[in-house]
Amino acid sequence: MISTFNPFETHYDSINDKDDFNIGNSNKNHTVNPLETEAERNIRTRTVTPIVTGSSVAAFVFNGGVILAADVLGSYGSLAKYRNLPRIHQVNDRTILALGGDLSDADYIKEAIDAKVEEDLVQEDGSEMTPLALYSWCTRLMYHRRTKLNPFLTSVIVAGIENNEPFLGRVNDKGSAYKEFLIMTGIANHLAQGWIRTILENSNQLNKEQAEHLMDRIIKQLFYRDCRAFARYRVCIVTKEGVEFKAKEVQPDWSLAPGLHNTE
Amino acid sequence: MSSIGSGYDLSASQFSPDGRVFQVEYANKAVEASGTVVALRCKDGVAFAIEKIVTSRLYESGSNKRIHNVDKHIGMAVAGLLADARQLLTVARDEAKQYKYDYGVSIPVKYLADRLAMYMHAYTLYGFVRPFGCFILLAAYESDGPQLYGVEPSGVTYGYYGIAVGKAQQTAKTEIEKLKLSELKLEDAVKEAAKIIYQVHDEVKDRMFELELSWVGQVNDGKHERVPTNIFNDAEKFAKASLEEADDDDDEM
Repeated sequence: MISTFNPFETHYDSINDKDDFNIGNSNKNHTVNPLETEAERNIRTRTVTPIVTGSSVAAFVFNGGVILAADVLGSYGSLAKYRNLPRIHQVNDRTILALGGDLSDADYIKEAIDAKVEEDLVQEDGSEMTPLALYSWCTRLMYHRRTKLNPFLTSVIVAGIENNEPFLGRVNDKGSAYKEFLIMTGIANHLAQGWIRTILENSNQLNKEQAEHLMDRIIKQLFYRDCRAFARYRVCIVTKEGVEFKAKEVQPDWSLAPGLHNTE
Repeated sequence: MSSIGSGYDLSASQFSPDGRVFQVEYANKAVEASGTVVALRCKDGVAFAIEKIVTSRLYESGSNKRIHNVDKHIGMAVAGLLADARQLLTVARDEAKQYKYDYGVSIPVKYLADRLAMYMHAYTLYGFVRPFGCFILLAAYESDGPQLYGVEPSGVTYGYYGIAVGKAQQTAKTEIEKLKLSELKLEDAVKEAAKIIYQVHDEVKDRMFELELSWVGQVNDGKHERVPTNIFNDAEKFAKASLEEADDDDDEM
């Protein structure tokens, strides 16, 4: 909604001084109606802190496709409350959406996209949502909410096959978006991205088995070090042939714990 | 057609002395002037067949389809003014989308028919709008079986086992009544519907027509779609063959 502020008109503070006949307010010229911006109008209802959150999402491109992994936990602060919430969603045969951060906002985004895909389906013109289209749409959505100071407190990862090439991109809650061969959100950004990038940059493209093996290593490391991680997780592999989901569980080896003095 | 209404037909907000709303009746005339639509609700599904009259060879085939998807599971067939129907299609799609958003499940076709009927009826109440000149048929295959509903320009809606609307509706209706719909399977219903279209098509008045066939039923898991190419070809062959049979019978006599 466009602001209706007119500096040449007399104004009054509409909360405190209700002057129905607009009679004597000469010392209140050029004041601004305090509820004029949308950010002020929904100051009580806009999203401030996330409530139920998903932890990190890890994703990278390998030779022939993209692999993503995210655990199935919804944390309620530090409580591991919802232990079966998959965070990787299939949009269509070649597009995947993974979400981290506030999960109610994540659900909103997922439902909006599902409705959009169904709407497009009934047009019967064979056109499908591509990863790049979804990535652009999510960027617009997140940036729009950021501009209204009412952000979706989630990170959105879009992955898939675009024009026969693997696609991987991320949009954060500020609407800042980028495409890369390696994307980590949440605390994985700090714990895992550094050493994974070194491995991926120095190797020739990995094949599918190597990619899966590397992803298992990443998730295991995150499970050791992330306080909000969970042992059960889902892996999603997108290739030209299609989309594959796998449910896995981390098999941690805690025997090394006594040797690490900083765990006491 | 000149002085039927004579003064009481100027707007939909007027009754005639004998209690008719002429604008709505004129809307029905627009429906009767369009290409025939035949819909058959059989044992395990619903089949639509439409005689889409083509007025020029210069038109790209497949333009201006008269069968649409409202939601994945609901099909809409249109008789009457296509442009009016396009608006109703948008309305129906919005209703279905909103219902899904509110309740999490696909809209039952009965509710969609009711809502569409309420919408169409609203346009028959005021003098500054005209009623919709189209008859909408809605079909779905739901948990309690196949469903077929029709909404008239006046806003009344009925559930049907079989219906024909358009130019040749009387002839087609007689043909439909000959079928035992409750025992027919969907693949056969599609063929029978195509056959009826070919039979009632008037070669003299409308030379070219395109047949549109669609189905929804147990066979495609309740997803409304145009009939697959092989079934379409079979149905057309069946329809043309039965036409020739009828011609042969006439020749013999």
